[in-house]
Amino acid sequence: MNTIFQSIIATAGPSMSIPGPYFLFTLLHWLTLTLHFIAMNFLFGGVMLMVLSKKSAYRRILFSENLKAFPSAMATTITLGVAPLLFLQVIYGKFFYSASIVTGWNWFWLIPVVIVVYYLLYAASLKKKIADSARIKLLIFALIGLVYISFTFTMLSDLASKPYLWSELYLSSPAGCSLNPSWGQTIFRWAHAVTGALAVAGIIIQLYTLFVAKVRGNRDLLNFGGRMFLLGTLKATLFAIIYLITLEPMVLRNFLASPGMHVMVTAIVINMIIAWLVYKTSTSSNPRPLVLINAVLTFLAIFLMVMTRHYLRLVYLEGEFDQAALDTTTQVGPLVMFLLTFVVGLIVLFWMLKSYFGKPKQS
Amino acid sequence: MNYPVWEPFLSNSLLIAIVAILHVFVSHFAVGGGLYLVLAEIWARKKNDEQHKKYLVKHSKFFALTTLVFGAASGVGIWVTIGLIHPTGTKWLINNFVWGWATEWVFFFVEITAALMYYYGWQKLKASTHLAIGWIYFIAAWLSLVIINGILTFMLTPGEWITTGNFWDGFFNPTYWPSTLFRTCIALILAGLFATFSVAKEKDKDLRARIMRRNGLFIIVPLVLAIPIGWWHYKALPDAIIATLLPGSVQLLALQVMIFAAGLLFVLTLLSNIIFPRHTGYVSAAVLMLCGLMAMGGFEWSREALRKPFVIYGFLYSNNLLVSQEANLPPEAPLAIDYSTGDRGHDIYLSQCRSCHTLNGYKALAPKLAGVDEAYIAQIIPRLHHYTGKMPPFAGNEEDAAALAVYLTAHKAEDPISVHPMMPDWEKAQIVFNRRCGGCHTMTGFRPLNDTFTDMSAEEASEVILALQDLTEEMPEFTGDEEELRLLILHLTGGAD
Repeated sequence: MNTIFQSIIATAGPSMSIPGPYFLFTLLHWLTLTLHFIAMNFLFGGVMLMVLSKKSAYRRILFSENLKAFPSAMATTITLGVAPLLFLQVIYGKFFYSASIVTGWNWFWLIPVVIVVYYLLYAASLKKKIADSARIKLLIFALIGLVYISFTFTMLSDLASKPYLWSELYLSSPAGCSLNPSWGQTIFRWAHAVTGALAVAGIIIQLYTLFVAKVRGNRDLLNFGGRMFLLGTLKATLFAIIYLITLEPMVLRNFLASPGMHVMVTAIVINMIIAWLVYKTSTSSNPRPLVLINAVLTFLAIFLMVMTRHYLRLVYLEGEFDQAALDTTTQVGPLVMFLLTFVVGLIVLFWMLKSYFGKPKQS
Repeated sequence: MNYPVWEPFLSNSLLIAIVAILHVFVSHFAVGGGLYLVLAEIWARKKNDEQHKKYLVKHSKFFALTTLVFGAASGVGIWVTIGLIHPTGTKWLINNFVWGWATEWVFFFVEITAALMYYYGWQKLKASTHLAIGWIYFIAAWLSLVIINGILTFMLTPGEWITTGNFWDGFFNPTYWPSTLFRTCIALILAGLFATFSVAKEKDKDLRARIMRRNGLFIIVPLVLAIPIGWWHYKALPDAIIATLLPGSVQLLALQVMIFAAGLLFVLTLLSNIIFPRHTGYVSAAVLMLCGLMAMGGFEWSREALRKPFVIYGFLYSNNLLVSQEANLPPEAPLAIDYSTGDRGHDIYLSQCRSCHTLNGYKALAPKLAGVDEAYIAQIIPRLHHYTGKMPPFAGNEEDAAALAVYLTAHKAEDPISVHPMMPDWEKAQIVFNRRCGGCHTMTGFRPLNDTFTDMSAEEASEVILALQDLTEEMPEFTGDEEELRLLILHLTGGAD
């Protein structure tokens, strides 16, 4: 109690202390990163589906419904990506900055690439009559951009957990042209994320069949989404296992002994439940409740995956980072300002979404 | 732990300037454009003007395409860039203002959602709902400006925060309110400018003229209002900052660019939007945009330049030295550098100089050091903070200064006097004066030397110059050869500035 009291009294001067409890920043990071991943998976998985699915009926349906959502999904993904990056920097700033500096240009180029990808997606979604082949070409370029973005993020996240690599990388290029040298290992983590995106996109396609008027109740699309989920999950699991095997033996041992192990097992169980429910949706006469349960479970699975990343990071940073040693001075007023704004923001968002999706057209 | 120092081929200042100026240009439009759209929509609906409404649908598309991703991504770009070029400063800001940023993020999310719904909702939503979402957009966008402005102004005028460390003291700092209003004016001006650009291709000439006039008012009224607010902003700056607005200084030049561009914008807007609105096309609109960009760039540039050599004024220098550490300089131990390039001098250059300078690019050191010797460079390094108010104290000890001097000497440019031996003496003398005395003195202005030397004979001047190190601690020893001494005396006793 005394410690809590001490942590909320005003500071006697400028300090670098953490302006809130560690658990709060961690929770906010988990929550906002989960939301970011959902938007990103919808976008990335959706573009992949569009590019990779052959000239099928699904692609035509997706063209009419999915495509026009991509620019909005991109804007949402960027916006939702800001908050986790912010909360991450409070706790792990020194690791994040150092890793980003040693790979400086790769990190910096993300910004122009993000902008170009958005405009490609916008061009691909234009209402004007554009041949499907032209749209696919635009989407392929956008996909290349998305691959670059996701690969860079994965490599940076991994590198931020490995301070022992930085000195040598910096020595080889102070201009920041280095790549994460453990890409041979990390590529499986990236492949896990990419195939996971395919799975999430599958679930979102199933949600289309509940909420989007043009395809409401479309069985083919429902089953297609289910197949994509199963395919994505299967591959994602495979890549996750390979990634775990490639971890340094000590890291793997410590990870398996950490809470991360329990979180990961729970995530696997949830994925198995989703897979079973997906199978059931294909035969159910009323798939609506199953699809909704799947959506909720998918959110939970992503949340658990985010937690797993967190515990793996802690294992890697053992000896470099100690949460108990963090100097904390909670800024009560500003925190209350944020929480109030957050609640009001959610109410306003809810009202806007309800107005947009729930009301009939203007007379 | 300290951070590695990124050494891109561009200078850090230039990199952040490019990203930041482009971002603020679009992000301020994102704020003012929201108000523009809702007011114009109210007007168009009241008049039942379908043509005007059609234009607004097109304008909102242009608005969404410009602001939603470019604005958002370049905003993240600023963050990425400052994290790369000044991680220590960024960490100070994040740890002290994370809840401010988090609050801004909520507004930002509401803003983006509202913008998408506003754009896609012209046909889908009831008029009243559409307008309500427009208002939500504008309020959220303006509030995000209100929040981020607290952090931006904090860096220039941290006020009481320096002693209390309190969030609110830093946030509501001395320039907070004038800057909030000033930026609001800028946002409205940019709304008018972008709208002028987007209406330039409108075929209906009557409609175009009407909208051009309205856009003109959107530019001119806040431009006029910005004058007293700008003056208030200027007066809210600490005297120490105002004192650095010396003739020839970058910060003064930046302010002059802003004032000149704003004046030009005023005149051209009067002509193109108010007097000849029917004749205004893309070219005129682009020229107006360019003026706006110049004015905005001048403002942001002056803000950055006025803050130098600090990242957080009066608290943290750009070379990561805290003002509170100044009393312990020079340190006994050499600078601790965790990430080495393999060359100690290069490491110290990166740690102490690179956040503002490059060797051969923007704010280049190589030409500044041309013609001076290693011993002189080693002497001036620990005295840098005596320069014309824009250099931080060197954080290293004598050993570090020596290592840095070796590195800089190896990279200095060729002496222009030896490259051009036929140069007239007066010109050579000016060059020698600039490199030996010009960092801290002018002949007639700042720390003037005119009065000291004009009546001296060459012998007397020579005696003074050769005993400079005995005058005060701040003066370095003259290390040049006889020819350089002759030229310096020529300049000093000749009285030319």
